[in-house]
Amino acid sequence: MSRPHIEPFCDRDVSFKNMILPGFGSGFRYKTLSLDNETGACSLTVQLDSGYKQPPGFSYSELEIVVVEGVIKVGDMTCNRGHYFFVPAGYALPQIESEHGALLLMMYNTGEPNLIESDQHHQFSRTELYHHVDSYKDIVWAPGNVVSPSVAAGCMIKLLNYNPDSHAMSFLYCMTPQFHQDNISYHDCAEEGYHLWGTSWMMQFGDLPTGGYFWRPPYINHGAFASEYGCIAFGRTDSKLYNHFHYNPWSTPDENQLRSAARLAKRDPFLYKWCVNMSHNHPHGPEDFEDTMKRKGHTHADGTHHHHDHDHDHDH
Amino acid sequence: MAFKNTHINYKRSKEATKWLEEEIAEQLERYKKIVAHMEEISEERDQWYEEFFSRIKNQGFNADGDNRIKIADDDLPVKPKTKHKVVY
Repeated sequence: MSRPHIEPFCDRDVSFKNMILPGFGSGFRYKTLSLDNETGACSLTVQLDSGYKQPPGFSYSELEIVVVEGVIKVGDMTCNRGHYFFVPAGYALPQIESEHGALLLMMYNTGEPNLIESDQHHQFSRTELYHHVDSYKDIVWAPGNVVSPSVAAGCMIKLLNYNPDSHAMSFLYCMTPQFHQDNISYHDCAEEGYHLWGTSWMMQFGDLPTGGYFWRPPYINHGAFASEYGCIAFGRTDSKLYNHFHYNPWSTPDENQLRSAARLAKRDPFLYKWCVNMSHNHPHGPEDFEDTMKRKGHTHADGTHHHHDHDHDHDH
Repeated sequence: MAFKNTHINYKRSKEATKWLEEEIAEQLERYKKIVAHMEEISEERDQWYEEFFSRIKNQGFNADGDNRIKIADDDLPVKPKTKHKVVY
């Protein structure tokens, strides 16, 4: 099972706990926002106490960090609120310290939190993927109409991380004061949000204040939307974000998923027929020849670029 | 979740396994509280739905961005008899 539907939740309603896992030391306290029961992947609000120091090291899990409040030093670099890091698994960050304390959002994407003290990257780390940015100062707000159909004017984003294969995104989003959007939405992807500041309202769940959080699996209705005084938040999706808008508040996730499939059948009928009628139901998705074709300088001993770790249930 | 899926295989420690078990139990309690709270505000939510229907009839439904389409009363959905949930 992946993460359950956690919505709405406000981290201000619970207390910080001391991190007992090895490597983090004292002065690292956390609140769990959501957790994958199998992999241990999780999203945490983290309080670094004044004077906290963490030695250089890496995690076996991919990690994203947002500085919510306060200041941290990462090696020689001073990072203020709004600083965002994408840290691939095995990437050794330098010493992290906070003289006066800081509040962070830490998201371990592929496993439970761990810290292996090291000033060297793990040999399998994809170090080229590491990046960081001061999201408040170094990126401008863009209209929310990067996808279509789009959100109403007044909801804007700053894209922080993007997966070109899955179209998954990490981003800041904001709503201007008096923002409102009168539709109900669901997506084919999971969605996560954390309110850095301000309150928004959703018709199913009510107000989401500062520190408000949701982890929403695919196909769950949310909206209409509004924000009286505006808000700024951090959000993520685990694959392509498509806004399926409608106005039936009683539709279920199963019905929404069927509607998505019906819309796919209308939009891409040939692809849909191939997927459904030919029983091409690979559990991990159909084969992409660009992933498997023989390449001149980059093949396995068997001549392929990769191999399946599952059985086909049909003959090609 | 803009995962690049850069997981590196490792053996989970006993401490981590215990930590995970405790966190799973706490998350289950958190989930139950959320479900109970969402049940508590059912009547208020029903009112929000009615106000939403009124707005999309009179001011319009946001079909795409700021393009609003007025929905005829006859086109509004009928509330099903099954129990309504918002958390799954």
